Amino acid sequence: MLPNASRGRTKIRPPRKILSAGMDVDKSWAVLRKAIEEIQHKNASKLSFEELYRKAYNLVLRKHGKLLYDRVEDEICKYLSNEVRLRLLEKLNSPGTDDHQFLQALNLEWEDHLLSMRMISDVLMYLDRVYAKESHLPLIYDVGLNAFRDSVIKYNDNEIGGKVIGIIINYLNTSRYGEMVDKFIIKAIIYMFESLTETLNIDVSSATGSTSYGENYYLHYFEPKLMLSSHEYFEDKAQELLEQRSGAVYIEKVTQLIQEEESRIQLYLPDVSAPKLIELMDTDFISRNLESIMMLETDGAKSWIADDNFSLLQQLFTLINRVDSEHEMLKRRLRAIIMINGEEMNKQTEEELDQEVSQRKQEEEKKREVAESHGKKLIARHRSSKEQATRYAIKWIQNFLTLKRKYDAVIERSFDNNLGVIEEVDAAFSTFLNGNSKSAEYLSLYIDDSIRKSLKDKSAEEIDHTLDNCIVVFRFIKDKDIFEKYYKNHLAKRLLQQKSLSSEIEMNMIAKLKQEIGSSFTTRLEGMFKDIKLSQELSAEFNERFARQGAGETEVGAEIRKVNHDRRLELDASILTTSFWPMPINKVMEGVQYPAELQILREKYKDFYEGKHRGRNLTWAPNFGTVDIRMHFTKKIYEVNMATLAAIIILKCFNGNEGEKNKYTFEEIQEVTQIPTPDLNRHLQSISVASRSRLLKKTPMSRDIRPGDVFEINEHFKSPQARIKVLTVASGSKAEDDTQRNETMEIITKSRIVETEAAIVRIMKARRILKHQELINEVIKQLISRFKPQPSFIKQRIEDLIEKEYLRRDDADRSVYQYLA
Amino acid sequence: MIHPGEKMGNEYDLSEEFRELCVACRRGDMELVDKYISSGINLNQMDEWDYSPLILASICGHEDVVKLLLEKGCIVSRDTFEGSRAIYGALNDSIRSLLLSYDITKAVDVTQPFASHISSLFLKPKFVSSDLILKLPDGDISRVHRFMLTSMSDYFRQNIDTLLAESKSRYCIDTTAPGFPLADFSASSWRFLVDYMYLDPKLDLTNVEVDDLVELARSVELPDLASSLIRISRQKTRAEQAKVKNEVQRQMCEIARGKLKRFVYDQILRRALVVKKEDGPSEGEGEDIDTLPGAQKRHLVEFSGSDVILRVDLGENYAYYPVHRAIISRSEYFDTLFQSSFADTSAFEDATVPDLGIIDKEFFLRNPETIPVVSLPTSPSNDIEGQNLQLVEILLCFLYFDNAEIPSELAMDTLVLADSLFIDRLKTMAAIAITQIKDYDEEGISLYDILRVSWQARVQRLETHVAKIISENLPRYLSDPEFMDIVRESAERIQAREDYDTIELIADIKFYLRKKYFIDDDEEVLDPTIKGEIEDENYSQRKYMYQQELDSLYMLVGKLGLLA
Repeated sequence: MLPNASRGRTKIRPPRKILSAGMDVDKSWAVLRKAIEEIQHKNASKLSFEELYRKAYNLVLRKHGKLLYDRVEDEICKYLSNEVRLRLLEKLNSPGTDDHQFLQALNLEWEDHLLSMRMISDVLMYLDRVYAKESHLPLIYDVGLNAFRDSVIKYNDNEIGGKVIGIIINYLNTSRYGEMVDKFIIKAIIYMFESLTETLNIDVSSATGSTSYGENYYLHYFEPKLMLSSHEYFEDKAQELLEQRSGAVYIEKVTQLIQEEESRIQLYLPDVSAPKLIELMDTDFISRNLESIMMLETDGAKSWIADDNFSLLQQLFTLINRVDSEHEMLKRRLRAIIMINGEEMNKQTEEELDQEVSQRKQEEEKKREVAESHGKKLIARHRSSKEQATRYAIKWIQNFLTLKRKYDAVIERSFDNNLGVIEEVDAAFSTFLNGNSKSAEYLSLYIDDSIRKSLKDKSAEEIDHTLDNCIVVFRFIKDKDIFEKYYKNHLAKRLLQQKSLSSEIEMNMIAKLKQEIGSSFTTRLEGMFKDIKLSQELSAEFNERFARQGAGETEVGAEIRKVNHDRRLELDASILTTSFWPMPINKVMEGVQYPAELQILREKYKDFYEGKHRGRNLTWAPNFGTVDIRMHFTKKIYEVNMATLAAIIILKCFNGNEGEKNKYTFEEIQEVTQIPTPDLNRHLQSISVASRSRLLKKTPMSRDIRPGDVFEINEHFKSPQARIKVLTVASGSKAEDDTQRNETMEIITKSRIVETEAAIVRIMKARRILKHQELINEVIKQLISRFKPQPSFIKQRIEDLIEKEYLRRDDADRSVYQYLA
Repeated sequence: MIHPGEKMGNEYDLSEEFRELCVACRRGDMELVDKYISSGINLNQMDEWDYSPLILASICGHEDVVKLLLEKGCIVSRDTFEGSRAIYGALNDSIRSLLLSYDITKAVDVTQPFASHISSLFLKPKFVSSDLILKLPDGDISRVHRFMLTSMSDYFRQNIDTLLAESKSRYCIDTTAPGFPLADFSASSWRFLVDYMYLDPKLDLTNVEVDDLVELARSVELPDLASSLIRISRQKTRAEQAKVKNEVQRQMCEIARGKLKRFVYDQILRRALVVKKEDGPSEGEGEDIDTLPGAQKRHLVEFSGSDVILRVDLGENYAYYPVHRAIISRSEYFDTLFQSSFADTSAFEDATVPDLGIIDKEFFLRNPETIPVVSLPTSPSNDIEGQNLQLVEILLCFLYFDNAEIPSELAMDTLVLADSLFIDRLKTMAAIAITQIKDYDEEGISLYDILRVSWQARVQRLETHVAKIISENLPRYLSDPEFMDIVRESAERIQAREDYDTIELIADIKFYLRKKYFIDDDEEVLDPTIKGEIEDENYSQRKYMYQQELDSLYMLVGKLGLLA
């Protein structure tokens, strides 16, 4: 491998340098000292790297590392303090030098120093490697940096450093007021400050005393001053803007100021300061003031929402987003504003209604005037307070939806569809909605009105849209069982009275409810539908097969026809499963006496039904349904549709042949029909008082039905139409009055008791043993989709169940329940 | 499990070197393993008991060695016998997951340090050292070194001047010049060729037309490149390609090593000029003046494409070598020198062609007296000229092609030289060479000198090595007056450092004494009051002897007044 080499086994001598001790330390140092001086005075081009390195190398090898290190440090400090520093002070104090020139001079000295240090540390690389490293001392280059810090910048109580900091901060402030400043010199000086590290042992005087590793002159001396002056500037600016008392101005100006400041930071300041300064700025501009800005009466968040000022709201959101990713400040305001909006909405709805009423009044007034001028008399239509309440409910829901849509738009266009904000707004809407105890009824009424009337002739999309809106409101309702109760009532009436625009819309609504909350909620509703459908099929079968009349007449058919004076008589029965429908079985109606025509239908249908479904119990409910009767008056024959009970009155008492008794007192009618008084009252009113359907003549002619009143056929009955519908007083879907509401609530409370107890038993059956709190939580979890039970309510139910011996308390731990099978 | 035709991994290597590598892998001696890797040994071989270095390192639990082997191209694959043995035999899960994470398709760097340095000259040069421009067919230019082209390719060595003449330039090889001999090759082929000559390990064949490139490789007389290309392009799967590339890279390195070796011997060492000192031998402190006449300098650098002259003090004479800044800057000392702005190398600034970023060698040839001369910071210590020449040879062979063979008699000088030049790797190699000496007496080397050198150059490995030898024959050293001196010196070092409360040498010897007598760490003192169960006779015997030797060692220390 190594040719031509003599491989004599001569004794190997150790490297000579180790042995030879003789060396003139001072002579070597003199050469190095001179070289350092030359380097510092930029005369290095004649110096030999090799020679200088060799001198330093030999000094270190001979264990003069410490001497060399200390002397070099001393030399550097002397130069910096006696020459560089004095030159700079001279500049500083000379009247012909401005700040900028001074900074440039400083930067030039700094750069020269760095260059010198690079060269000095190059020739002393062996000293660095061997002596500095092993003695855990800073490398020569860093010694140079520290020397610059101590002998120039911080010398004499931070004399030069303090001046420089003042100049640069002043520069930054002037740039804030739009003046151009030399960014290169600022960057350069700050870079220098950052290069000057601060260490504990040197900086004893520091007031904070907590100089940590990685701190430097910039962080320690410059940054605090920067923060202070920036804080003053931000505060002044914010105050100035606040005084204008305009939210829009504040937000726009602050947005602009922040942008400017950020680009300034990027331009002049190091990355370490950026987050701190931005935080300070955000605190001064946003955290401190923005909430009060949002609360400004005339030009604040509320008015921006009212005016759909999306772009301003977006700026607002962007600003808040800077300080708080949770946007608490915004959420607080939104909640408060929505509550106010809610109050206003209530008022607005009332006003609209009043307006509507007075408008209608005016119109009717006009009509009457017109009519009177033609010599006719019109009776003003009386609008019941119940009807008013219904109108109010529908308007209220509409207004609620409008308000919600407004916020939806704001959230989408200004608040970046932020989930937290959406949640907060929804929660606020929910609070407002549930704050109104009637909201569930309102919604049901709104749906009822939609399905009965307002969706007529609407396109499929419009219908779908309206129904979806209903679900939006539904989602907010906490006590879903209350809604269910109302909905069932309204649905029952629609179904029995065939008032729905179409069963598709009904089914669509139920499908949406089902999708929203699950099938347990809708099974009964669907059951009601099924009942109606089955009833229709049964009726058809009854009328066309079982009791067919006319061609192909059956025996039963013939019998019925005979009873009905040889005229066709058909029955359309609705068979309602008790548990699906909201109406209770009405025992009072059992005693009602049916006229022969109806009695025979009742009996035959019963036979028919029992033939089909053995063992089922049919209870008749004459308080529902209608009867069509052809009535012969002196002048004309009318086909009249009336409530079953009304029909019973007519057929029982006023269907006699010539010469039979044709005048009945109230008591006599009751005697004959056995209809309960309130119902009798109502129905008599509708066929003897209501102007359009005054089939009976009442003596005396008064509005109200009183005992002793006498009724007879109104032979002079006249109507423009041949077909007449008798409207039963107080029928149709109307808002409840307070007594009714209390009844409803009582029913709901009862059903809640049942449901809660069922839930408790269900849970305990599965778990056998459970702690009180766990049981409460579990029950709430199961019931929350229907209503939110109070823990005290659940506790009461538990007590009841203990009494009923479904559960018992554990003997050892009273807070534990056991299930008793 | 061995796949037919699988070439790597199942070859036997029964050489001494490979055996020692395997021992180093078992012991977990990183530096030694590194040394053998850099000698270019094929790591994917097995010893006579079917162990590969990787299996050994992994069953012995040396994670750092396993990592090094993997990084340097050891193949581990669960599908092979060796691979699965390494994985199942791994001492711990950490090593196992390390092995599993090294998929064969993962790029590994099998290149040697010298090759990495050469690649970096081309890819990210720290200072201007190129002296030629290669203008590619697509108009792009590459900055290259004359000495690299000529050393790597015989074609360029013989024809470079013709190519320059055809290009009508003194420093630009213009492939687009009319009548250029190597026209018609694509730019991407040229790029690949240059990468290859600069030992860039990527060997990425995407965007390369293999046929064109093979033709170019043959034209410039690089048959190894041509055949490698064909081999790589024939592989079907990525894994196979990666495997072959890995092998080609290793081959490429070894071929380049051979070429550079030839270059160093033919163009540098053989051309060395030995000139008698004018003022007789100097004692090192006198400042040497560059006295070589311009004509001689010019003659020295003319043919080797060198840009700097290395002068070595031989005592009576100076030896001058034509060397290359690009290469000797592998030494941190030279690197700093070249990058600093002292007088030594200011000539390079004058010779730089400003816009092209290359050195104009013509400038040096026209002004030969400006050719920079650098020297070593420490003159060779030996008066025997042959040995001094040999030392330079070791240095240059290491710098140019990582040669780490250091004859034992020069190991100490190499160590000191490497330390002064900041070449840590060479320092380590020299230290290894010293520890591998079997008999120091026979070689005439004083253990004390080794210790002193290791203190000076801060080589822990050597310090403990010496302590171990002393502990093995302690009585002999205790009676040696020189031993007392060295203990004192060791103690003085502590005072200088103030960081340690014990004398390092004594602590080290004590440590090895315990090893020698198999004494547990926590039972070092024989306590006669404890009458435990009768231990094996042998043990108390050993303990006794241990205590004896330790006592006499402390006695000596006490005599020196060094006990605290």
